[in-house]
Amino acid sequence: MSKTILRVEDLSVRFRTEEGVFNAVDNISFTLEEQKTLAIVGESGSGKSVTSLAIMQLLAENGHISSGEIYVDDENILNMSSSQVQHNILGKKISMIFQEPMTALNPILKIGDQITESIIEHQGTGKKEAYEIALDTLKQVGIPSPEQRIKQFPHELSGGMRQRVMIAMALVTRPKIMIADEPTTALDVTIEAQILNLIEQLKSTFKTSILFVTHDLNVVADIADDVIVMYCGQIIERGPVVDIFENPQHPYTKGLLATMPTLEDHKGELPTIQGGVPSITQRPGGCYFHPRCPHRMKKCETQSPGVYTVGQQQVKCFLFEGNKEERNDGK
Amino acid sequence: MFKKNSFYDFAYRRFTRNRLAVIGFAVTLFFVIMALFAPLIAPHEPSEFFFVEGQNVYDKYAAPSSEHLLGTDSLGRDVFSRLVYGARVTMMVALLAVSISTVIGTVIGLLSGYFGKIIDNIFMRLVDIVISFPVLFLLISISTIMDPSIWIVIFAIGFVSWTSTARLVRAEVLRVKELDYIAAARACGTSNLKIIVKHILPNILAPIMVQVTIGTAQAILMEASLSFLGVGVQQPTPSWGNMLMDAQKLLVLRDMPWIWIPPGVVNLLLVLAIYFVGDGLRDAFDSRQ
Repeated sequence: MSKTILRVEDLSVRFRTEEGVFNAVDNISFTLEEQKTLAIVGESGSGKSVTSLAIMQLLAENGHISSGEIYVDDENILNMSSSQVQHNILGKKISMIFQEPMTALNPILKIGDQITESIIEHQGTGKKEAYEIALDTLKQVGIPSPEQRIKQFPHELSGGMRQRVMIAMALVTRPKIMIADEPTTALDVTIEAQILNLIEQLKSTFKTSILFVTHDLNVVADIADDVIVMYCGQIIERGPVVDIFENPQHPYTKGLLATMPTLEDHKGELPTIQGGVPSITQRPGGCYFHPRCPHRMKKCETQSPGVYTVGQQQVKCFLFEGNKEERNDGK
Repeated sequence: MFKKNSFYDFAYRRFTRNRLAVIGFAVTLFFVIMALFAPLIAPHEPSEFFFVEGQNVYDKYAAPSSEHLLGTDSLGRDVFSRLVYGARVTMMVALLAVSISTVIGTVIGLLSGYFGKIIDNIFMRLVDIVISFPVLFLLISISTIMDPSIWIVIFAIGFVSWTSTARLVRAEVLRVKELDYIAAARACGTSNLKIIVKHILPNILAPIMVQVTIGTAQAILMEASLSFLGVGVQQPTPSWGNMLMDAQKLLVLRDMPWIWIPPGVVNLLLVLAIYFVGDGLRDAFDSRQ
């Protein structure tokens, strides 16, 4: 049994809006094991990005963590002061890769200045030494002629190169956890494959655990060890990646997987899930998925289902009521 | 001139392609040189009184001649020399006042925009109060209470004109702080101070620089109007504003254009030139072009 490196318990994130207060993330719990990749999958508005931002304490001004605990190395970071988190956690134990390599680099700072920033901040090394480490990291993320690149500005690099720089920035302090928020969405497919390979390879060289947030199931199949499927701020299914893909249980997961195009069949239109994710202000009662669910029952409209074990998976759906119940809130 | 392919390198290239901006820059530079080398250019001391040949009478209101290129003023002083030295005073007042207002405005704008909430509220109400000050009356009352000096003019202009810079900087911070690279910097554990100084400030420097040029032009105009009304730069120190004071006399206004046209024209020229530079900078920094 490997060590748990990140443990999120009963996390709820609340947003204040014009129309009231809403839970963007609703009582979710999960763990990330050492040197594993956990993928959080979901459509837009499912709360997957909010979860990662909450862990990084980067929530927008109108959002806050209303309850729950986030343990990094068995320390609850929500009990720390913001300067403690900034000094001891962010950039040191957890780092993040952003979705848009075009905008996530400061346009007027040279690559080198941006990478060395967190080394100087966290390890107190001199500028020269930090520069050497940065150069070394750039080599490891596969940037050709890093001596030259390190002196360039972000706009002189291609999208793929910039994402490599982002990864170098995230890895330069050798964090234990790397959160990747759709890191390949903005890239084209060939570059995407390269970046995924790189992340995979760096995971073993740097012994990092990865929390991978994405909506792209192909990427999940490629990279994840375990998968969490989110819908409307709740975890509706979780399990090892093989089980989720071979044998999805929740009607939503089944629907998602059915929408994936395959190379074999060319039978015209792709299947879709009816309807769309309800907005945070208009979530239905009972199971949030029931209006779109092909198997909905009467009680789905009024009661929220518990979480039931099916093989290696945990599913939040009444279809599996006969199975062993885990907890009512998603652990 | 700048690091190749940097933001400022591109801006420099765009600026130099803008003819009006380059002319404006040249005119501004001309006046700056005039101010710097005033003792070499001016034929006389600015406060030197001239007498009518062989008499013990001031040579007042003398028409332009080879001796006095732009004639003499109401006290028999050489207008051209005062004009040259006046460039010094006018520019010093404008630059120091703009430095004060830029520093105050930038600091307040940064804090207000970055931290938001109550800090923002306090500072923005302060801005509202300062904007509502009747500047002219304030200055007139200050100059009647205190001994008028050039420093009062500088601080007065500085302390009333930082509000537009503060608002501009605040708006820019609000825009920039939502960008991904600020979140990325925060995700690296960068401190607030460092994010403000290293990531936000350099990225909003361009609009601040535009604001500085426009602020300089406005400060020159403000100095001119204050001095014209007698509450700005005091005699015998020459400034383009107080040189225009003589024009308050109908006789001078009607019959002695050499006394008031030159300071008025240079004032106009310099302000216009600085505005052209400001416009040029704004276009040059606009990377969408």
